Amino acid sequence: MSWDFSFSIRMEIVQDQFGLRLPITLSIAGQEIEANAYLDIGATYCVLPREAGERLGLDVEAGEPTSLRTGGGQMPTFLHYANLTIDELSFEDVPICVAKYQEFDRILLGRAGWLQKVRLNLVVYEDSLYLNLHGQ
Amino acid sequence: MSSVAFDQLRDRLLKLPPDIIRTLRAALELESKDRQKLLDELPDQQPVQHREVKVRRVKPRDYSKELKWLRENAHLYRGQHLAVSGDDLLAHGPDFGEVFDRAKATGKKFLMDYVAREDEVWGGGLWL
Repeated sequence: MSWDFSFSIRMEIVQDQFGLRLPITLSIAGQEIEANAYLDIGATYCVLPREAGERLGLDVEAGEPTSLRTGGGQMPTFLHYANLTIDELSFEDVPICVAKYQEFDRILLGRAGWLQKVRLNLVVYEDSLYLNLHGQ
Repeated sequence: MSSVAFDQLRDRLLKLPPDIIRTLRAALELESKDRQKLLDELPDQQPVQHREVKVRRVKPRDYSKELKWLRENAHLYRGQHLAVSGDDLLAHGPDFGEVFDRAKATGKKFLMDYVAREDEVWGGGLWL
């Protein structure tokens, strides 16, 4: 048995031993950050360094305190909402977690707010990620 | 409380950040009457209710030059944040905020990236 899918978006990804990175844009009220984010579909939320949250104009600690579980223990963050753009798809009001401590220094692209709305195909040996809005 | 539950609780508490441990210690050192009063006032943790996410299509941005530059050069900047515009490296360094601010001061659009150190291996996801 086989299943065939088609995708309207192809994105280039960058790989290293830490993971797969793809370009995204995060924006809040006119402030935006374009960045390569590590794709982490094991993570519930997108997670940002505190300094990235501040550059988006957030009052970081005014967000909802949210403790994320990791293999190394709890990680304190604050939950906010942002617009997330991946190629031609812009997801509005995506929940994101901003790290409380500055030691967390990279952008992770977790599942919440976008992954449920797309079909995703990853072909690592071609440095390619394919997307399509679910149901289209 | 069984010793198993005690051990699990202790292991979890020892992994908490220092400021939370200080707060916990202060709470545990309260008189029993006040400790119970505090326990009664603590809200049950409610599941987070998220806003509805809407999707719209936008004109995609072309990052092909930045990604080509990163494929060819990122390995030279291990453990650093980079700000790349086309095939120009605008700023780099260990601090996200400093690199972002220096790149933004150029007035150009740019893509931020972090290049993992060679000894870094990602161990897994983050969840609630």
